[in-house]
Amino acid sequence: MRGSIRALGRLAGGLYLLLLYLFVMGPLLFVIATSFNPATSFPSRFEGFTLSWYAAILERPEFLAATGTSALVAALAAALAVLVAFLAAYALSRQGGAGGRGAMATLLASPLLVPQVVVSLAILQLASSFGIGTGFWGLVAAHAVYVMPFALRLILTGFARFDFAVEEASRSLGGGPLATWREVTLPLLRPSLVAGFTFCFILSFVNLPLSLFLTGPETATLPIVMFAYIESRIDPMIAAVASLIVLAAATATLLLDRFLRVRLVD
Amino acid sequence: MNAARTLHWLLLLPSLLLLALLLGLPLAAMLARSLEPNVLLSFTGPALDNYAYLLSRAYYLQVIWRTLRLAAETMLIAIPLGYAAAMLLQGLSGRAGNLAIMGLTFPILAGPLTVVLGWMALLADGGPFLGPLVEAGLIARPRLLGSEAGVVISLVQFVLPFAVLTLYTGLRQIQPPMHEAARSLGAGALSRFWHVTLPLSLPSVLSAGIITFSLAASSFISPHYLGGAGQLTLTTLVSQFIMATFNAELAAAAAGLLLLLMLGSVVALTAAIGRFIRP
Amino acid sequence: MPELVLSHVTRRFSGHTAVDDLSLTVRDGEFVCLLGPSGCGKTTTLRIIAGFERADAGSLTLDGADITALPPEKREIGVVFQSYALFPHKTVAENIGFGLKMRGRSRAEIATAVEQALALVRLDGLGGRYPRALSGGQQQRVALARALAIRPRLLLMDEPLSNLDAQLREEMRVEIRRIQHSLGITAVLVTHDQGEALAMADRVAVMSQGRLQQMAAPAEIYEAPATAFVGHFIGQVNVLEGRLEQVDGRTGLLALPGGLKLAGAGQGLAAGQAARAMVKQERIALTRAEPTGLPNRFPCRVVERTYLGGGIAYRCAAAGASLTALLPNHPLFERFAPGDAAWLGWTAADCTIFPG
Repeated sequence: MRGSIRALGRLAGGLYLLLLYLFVMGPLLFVIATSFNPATSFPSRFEGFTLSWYAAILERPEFLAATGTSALVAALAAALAVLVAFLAAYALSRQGGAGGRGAMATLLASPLLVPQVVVSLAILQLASSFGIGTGFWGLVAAHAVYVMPFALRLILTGFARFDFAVEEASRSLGGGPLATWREVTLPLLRPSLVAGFTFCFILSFVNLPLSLFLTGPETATLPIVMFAYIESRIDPMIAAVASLIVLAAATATLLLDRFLRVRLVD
Repeated sequence: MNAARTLHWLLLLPSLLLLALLLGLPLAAMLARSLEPNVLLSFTGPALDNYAYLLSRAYYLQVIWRTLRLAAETMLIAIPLGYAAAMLLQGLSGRAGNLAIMGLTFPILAGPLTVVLGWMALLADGGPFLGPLVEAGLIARPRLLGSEAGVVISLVQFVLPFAVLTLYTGLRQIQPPMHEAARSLGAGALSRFWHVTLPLSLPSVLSAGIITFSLAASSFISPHYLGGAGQLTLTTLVSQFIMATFNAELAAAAAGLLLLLMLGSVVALTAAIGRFIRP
Repeated sequence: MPELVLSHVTRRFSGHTAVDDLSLTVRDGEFVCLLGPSGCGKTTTLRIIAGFERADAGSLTLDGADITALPPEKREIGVVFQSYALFPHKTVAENIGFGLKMRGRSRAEIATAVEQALALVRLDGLGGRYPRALSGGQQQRVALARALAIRPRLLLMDEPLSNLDAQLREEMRVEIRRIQHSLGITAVLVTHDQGEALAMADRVAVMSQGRLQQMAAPAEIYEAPATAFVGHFIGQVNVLEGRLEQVDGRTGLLALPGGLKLAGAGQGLAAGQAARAMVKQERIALTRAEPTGLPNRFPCRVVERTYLGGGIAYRCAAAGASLTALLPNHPLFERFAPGDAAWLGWTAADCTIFPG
């Protein structure tokens, strides 16, 4: 009797998780499904199967150009974010450092909680009050600040399992500060650094609100081009673009799990 | 100690500098801008006229109230849903647990624009999901697109992964012997939850509350695409001021209001839940 | 000659002084244990010697050369860490060869040195393994081999045995001494385990609150504690507080509040002064007949009996004082039960008196 109540509980729990995952994943599944729908309006009922929307992307050169811009911005922003987050995480994790670790980590995570549209506007206004454009590097820096908390979190998780005594061991064996970082610290943290870079890259790549006021014709990112496209008309081609993004993000996530055993929670 | 302390701050300097230059300084400049006259109002020097203007129009008050209501509703729905999921996910371990967590964060990585396109397909009366149901006469036209309910549904989905991750980490930190101790003292499953698990997880409930509320209040894409002109929030209002009416000062004031209201809500939330957190 | 000299070394952390005006000398080839309770400054002292911490004041010399300002990588001092701190991403051989690689030695030379080091710690053939594939005891040996492979002038060990279980700990005590002896290397080991310090060291340095209490051979530390702290800290000790009645040079008579008068020895004693007597538990005789040969003898009642395996501890009450006598678990010794009347007795030499 007790056993069957238990089994029933497990079943209910499993069912709950299944529904929750369907709810969380549902929109993505429908975007992908819609991208194969030959109907010319979006959204509309399924009318068959076609790959023509994917072919249609090739006829829109601005999407390809924007993909290149997005990738470049994302790569630079992720590299910058991982670099400063690594230095900060090193300082916050090391023993003997100054106190206030929790407060500092919270401060560095604060970009997560500030509305990105507001940040975008604020940077635009600051730049224009100096009479300068924000340009490409302003965009990169804004993205870097926004994705840095994610890098910080992943790298701090990596440091949680890092025994700082190995650095002292290296020093006592004759390794100078630089040799110690090259031989010991960086190799041991490589999984967190790669994971941090990948996450930051993706988050920057798909970000829209932050870029809203910071892009011009030269620096239009993929989400901005999609945004502009949707403003004028909406058809399943945009779903095809979105599906390709989902595919890329899924591949990256699986690779991280497969090769780096990255853990988001310790 | 001095050398170690210097190194400590030197290592923190780049991130703090980045934060100051691209977050602190712009926000400060924007708040200063919000105190300047705009094309609709004539006043001299720094004053609160822009704020007074926004707060005196019923239309804008409605936008402010809607922003807070959406954020609160999203938080109140996402926290219990996420708490249950986080507790169930504790049961999974190793590879399966990690994959489950990774899967949950996947929509964050796919990007909000992609997700919202999915919701546009899912929530449209004539779309591939609801369309057949409506036509078969199974349900009445739900008219979710352009409604507050539609925005809340998508916001809950958007913040849920953050809530689950935060609560999962918090629940993990409760040591299993704690449950065993409670059990050995005769506590049943419900009283174990009520007297041990829930009180000990309150700090993470507070964090999850702050995160979900802030993300919902900050969100732009969901209200823009799923709410539309009829469901303006402070973020979409800011973009309208910039893109449609070119009123930078009012935009800055609306953004400043959003920041102040979010800050106030976080303080209120901390006070409300913090009372129950024992050291 | 690799002799280590610390003179007036001081280290302050915000709020407290971890190492307070510490001076000591470790002679060439000597094995010294730094012993003390946690927080006494022994690990900080070791870290200052290794170069991981700077001394705020004072200086260190090794081999007669000042090393106070030298960074750790220039000191030629081998360190074995409490957590072993093996490089998890390097094999055992790469771990052991790391120091020589940093010195730019050739591959062949490193390979030979690694073989020798592995043989020294009896881990031949395990060079290709990764640390996590080794047992705790094996990891400990790798840590030792890695520190020794650079042929250091001095070997430092920070609680090296604390992560091992009891059986292995005993073995490694002998093993570390064997290796230290065979190489003739000067060594400093930090421990909070007095049994470990007494068993391994040529000389033990007892520290408390950042200060050196006494530095001497193990037997002297045990038999002739120089300070009240050492007397109390080493061994299982009865502490009795009272007032000195008579003092005659180094001997005195301590009157306890309950009326007992104890004859003992100590330094700097003065009549009328408050003082504490310390008697090691195993130095107290517990008999049914009055031990007439002992100057300190009192009738008592057995209150509690604790069976310890190798010995039996009896807590006894005598005129308001509570004393514990530790008797060997051997047929030659009398057995008692709680409630029994008996006699406690000990010599004046086994009763050390400290003023204050």
